[in-house]
Amino acid sequence: MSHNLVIVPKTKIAERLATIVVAACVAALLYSIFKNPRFEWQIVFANFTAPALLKGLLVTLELTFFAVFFGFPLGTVLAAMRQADSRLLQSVSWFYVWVFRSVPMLVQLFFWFNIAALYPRLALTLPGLGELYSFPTNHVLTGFSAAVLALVLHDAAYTSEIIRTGLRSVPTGQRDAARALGFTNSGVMYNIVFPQAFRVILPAAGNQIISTLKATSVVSVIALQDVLYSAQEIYERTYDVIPLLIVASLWYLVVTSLLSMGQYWVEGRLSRKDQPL
Amino acid sequence: MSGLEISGFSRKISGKTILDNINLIVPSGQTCVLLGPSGSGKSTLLRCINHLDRIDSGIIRLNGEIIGYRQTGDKLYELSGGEIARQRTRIGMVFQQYNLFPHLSVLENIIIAPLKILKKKRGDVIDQALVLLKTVGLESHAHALPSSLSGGQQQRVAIVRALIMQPEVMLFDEPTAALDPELVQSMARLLKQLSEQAMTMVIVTHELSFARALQGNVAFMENGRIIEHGPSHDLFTHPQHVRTADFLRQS
Ligand SMILES: Nc1ncnc2c1ncn2[C@@H]1O[C@H](COP(=O)(O)OP(=O)(O)OP(=O)(O)O)[C@@H](O)[C@H]1O
Ligand SMILES: [Mg+2]
Repeated sequence: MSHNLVIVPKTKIAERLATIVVAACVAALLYSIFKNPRFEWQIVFANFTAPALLKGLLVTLELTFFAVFFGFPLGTVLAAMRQADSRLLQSVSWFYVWVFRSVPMLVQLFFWFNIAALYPRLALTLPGLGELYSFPTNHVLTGFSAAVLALVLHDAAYTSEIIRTGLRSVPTGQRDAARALGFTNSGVMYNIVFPQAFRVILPAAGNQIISTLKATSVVSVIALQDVLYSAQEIYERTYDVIPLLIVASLWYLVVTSLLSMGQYWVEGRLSRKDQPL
Repeated sequence: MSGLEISGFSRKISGKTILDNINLIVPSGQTCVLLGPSGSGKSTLLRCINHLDRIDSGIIRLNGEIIGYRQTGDKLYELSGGEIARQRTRIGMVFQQYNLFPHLSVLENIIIAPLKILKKKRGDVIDQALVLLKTVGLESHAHALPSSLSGGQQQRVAIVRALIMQPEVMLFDEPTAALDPELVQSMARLLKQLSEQAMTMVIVTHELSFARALQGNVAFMENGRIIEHGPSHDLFTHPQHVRTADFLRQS
């Protein structure tokens, strides 16, 4: 009587074992975190919204914003140059991406912070009119603007690659068909290429913004008061190193989670547009 | 004169001659079938007609107007992107791979050009699109995405997308390449309907039965040259050129 035989799924022994081992590890970790007094959770909570830290968080957010706000357009320009017919434009774009992707962010930051050694004064000079205006480099490239510059230039290199990959994901037949219908180059881009490239660009751009947020933490080395530096300032006074590093980490977690949620929301809206009207 | 006139048309790519002194006239309302082996330059010729590919010499006129260039004295100056785009709205093209826009529904694929380029009213364009979709039996698929359609259905959407622009000439690249024999015949019927409505057409194919079913004039191409040109019936029954005869026998 085959219809009343009971079906028994095969036992996944390896997976069961792994589950037991991981559960034990998680339990041990949680136990140590909450039982180890040196985590000093009360200090973590006390400092979580300390004014200095919140000010630092604001600096971190500002740096991220400026890096993305200027980095993305610059990256778009670089991607467009890479697609241009002119060999010079192509080469300059390629060279830019090569340099700024190869030199570590930290080195670039020191470089811009110390650029005054190379160009002590910046001057606005027009041919025929001579020098209109000049000022010491150090007045313009303060810690904050040096950090923004480094982040923007670094971001632009990555962004241009993201955009280039997105544009290349749209088959040339799509461009041909749009041009054959009578779209101008900008019409082809706006109506046909970008909407399709966006699906490839968006997830990568989301990751890029999150890694920019984390990259801003390097500015603490030039004493710029971001969230990490603010935490360091407090623990240098109080010696609560670990609790304050936890505070800084928690803030990075919070902002990253908010960014990810924003990314999922936008991606969700885009994929809904995939559905027929 | 009215219709499509191609004269002394040549194109080289890195030293290799792809099109060699092409002369072809398709009078208004008539059909020209371009026949020839693979690599003979048929697709390139079509792409040159609406200036998707540049030419090195020669001239194309559509209903008297030079395509892609402006003549000043004895020089042809290439038109601006916007001017060429304007001219392309008068030339319908159906690609071998259809190239429907995958991010738009069937209806949106069809209405996007009249809406965005010709700036027509949305309501009017949708009505027109639905009428055209009905003539190709796809009115129930208006809101589907192209990826959910079969190859033959996508093909017909691509044709409607070109027709809604009310072009002065239609260019078809291998319209039967991806169709099974039954669909080939129905495609031939659809194109004959268009020809009865006095549409000027250039149809590329290497399928003989399809070319025969279309009637009209046939131009036989090989190695970038048109080596024989004449009414369909004459060319199929009494080919003048030995290469044409070979091609007809082999296929
Ligand atoms: N962009 C290009 N670069 C180099 N060669 C090209 C290019 N486009 C076309 N060709 C060459 O031009 C010749 C004609 O190509 P075309 O696609 O026009 O042929 P066809 O007659 O349409 O062939 P098929 O029947 O296979 O589609 C071929 O030899 C091809 O290799
Ligand atoms: Mg071809």
